[in-house]
Amino acid sequence: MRAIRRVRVLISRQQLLIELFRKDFDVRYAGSVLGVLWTQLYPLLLLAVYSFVFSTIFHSAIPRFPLFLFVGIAVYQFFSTATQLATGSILANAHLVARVGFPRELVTLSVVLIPLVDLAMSHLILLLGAVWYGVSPAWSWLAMPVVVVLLALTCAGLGLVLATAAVYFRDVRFFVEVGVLMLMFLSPIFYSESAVPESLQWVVQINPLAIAISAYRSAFLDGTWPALSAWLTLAVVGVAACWVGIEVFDRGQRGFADAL
Amino acid sequence: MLSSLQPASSVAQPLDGPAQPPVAIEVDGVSKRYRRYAYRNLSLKGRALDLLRGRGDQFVEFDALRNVSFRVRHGEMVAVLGRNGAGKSTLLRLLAGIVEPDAGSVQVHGRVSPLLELGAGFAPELSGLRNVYLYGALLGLRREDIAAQIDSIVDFSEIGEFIATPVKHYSSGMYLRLAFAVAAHLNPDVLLLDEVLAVGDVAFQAKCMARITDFRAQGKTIVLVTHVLQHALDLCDRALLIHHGGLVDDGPPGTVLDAYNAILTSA
Repeated sequence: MRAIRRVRVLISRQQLLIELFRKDFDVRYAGSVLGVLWTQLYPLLLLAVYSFVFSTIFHSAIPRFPLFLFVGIAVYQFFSTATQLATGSILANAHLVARVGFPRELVTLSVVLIPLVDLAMSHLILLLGAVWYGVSPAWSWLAMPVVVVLLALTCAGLGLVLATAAVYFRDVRFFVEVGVLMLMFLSPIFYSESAVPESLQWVVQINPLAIAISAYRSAFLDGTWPALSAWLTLAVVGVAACWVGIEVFDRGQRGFADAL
Repeated sequence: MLSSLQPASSVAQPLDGPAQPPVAIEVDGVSKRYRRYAYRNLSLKGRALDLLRGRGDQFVEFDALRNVSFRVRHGEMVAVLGRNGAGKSTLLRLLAGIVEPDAGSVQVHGRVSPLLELGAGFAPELSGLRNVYLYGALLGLRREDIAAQIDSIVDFSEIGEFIATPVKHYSSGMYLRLAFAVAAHLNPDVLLLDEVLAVGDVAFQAKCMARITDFRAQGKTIVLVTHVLQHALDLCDRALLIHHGGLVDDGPPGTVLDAYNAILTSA
């Protein structure tokens, strides 16, 4: 099996993945703690605007609305940043991809790890929010990192496909930009999934991002473990995405040298 | 001898005698075809419009390499000669694993350290020091092994305090010195050199030559693309002559140089 062979190769080159991650990390955060904290400014500003719009203007009835909203924003930001960085990853690293021989998937995988740092940092704000709103720690919090890992698998697989496509079709990233924006409104970030009418429930039930956000939020705010169906969907979608991603990338990369 | 190699000739290798060192590089019936695009639309929008207009990619295909076979034994130093565009660099890119052959197989036993293009594998925005680690990892080295060599790499490169500066601010000479220092210190089994030495100043070139001589003495395998024919004569055990993508001669540097000169004068 090609995919399994590739996974073995990738695992054997984990040191390179770490170095590529360090490179992206340094470039993104200017190598400083302040740089890492700085990236939280973006979701915080989003939170300020969305809170104003949805609680002051639309009078959302959801309790602890800012915290509810921030969980959604944090998870969404991870998905959106990971997908967009991954899409541009091969083009952005053309100087490496076209001129050095190494497993090129690692370039894409390393940028998926970058927004994980952002998401981890968001938890400082989430914890402050939890204290402020009196959310008590629950065992279900243990589900949160697992949900993120499964979502990250989906991003990695999707990212590998999009990164390959972006080499041959340079305007793919614009479609990706619009796509993640559409997903923002199709996922329960500003609203709760129960607010979606019965006839449209399938939209949030087949969308892995929606499932991840709902599961994450219930685990964090309500102390509820994700349902078995949510686990299954996230796991199946994650593994399937990686499999497809590796297969597509492996076929596409033979032409990278010609197209870059 | 100037003849195009037939597939059968690649099989007719001498049997490995007990005194022969093991094979370091095996290139078997390798072909590589490139496309030179006159028109290629790299966007979805453009593709969709082209589809409606019935316009497709326009390109000419050319064989950068055609059915090339040879073996290099461990400890040999081989020069690759040929005119510009003959396929020499493609051959090294195949050996370095940067591109895959369309047909045939390339096997390199041991760790390869390629020095093909100036600054290839460097991330412009990272410091020289960080690039050493990144490049080492790209070549498959462990961090500890790079750390053990880092002082001698920095010394050799003569970059000095600028090692902490992002390499985008480096001059081409500094790029070369750092790249050569890294490639030469990472204990490769096979060293691939593509004319990059032409960039450095005379003193550094001499230093690189000394290092290459050391490598030879240590029994490393070296493949060198060069237009400095004297290098091929003085340094190498053997030379390969590539012409129009085919391997047309393979033997002692002296005789291969004669064949090369014959090609140059006939052109």
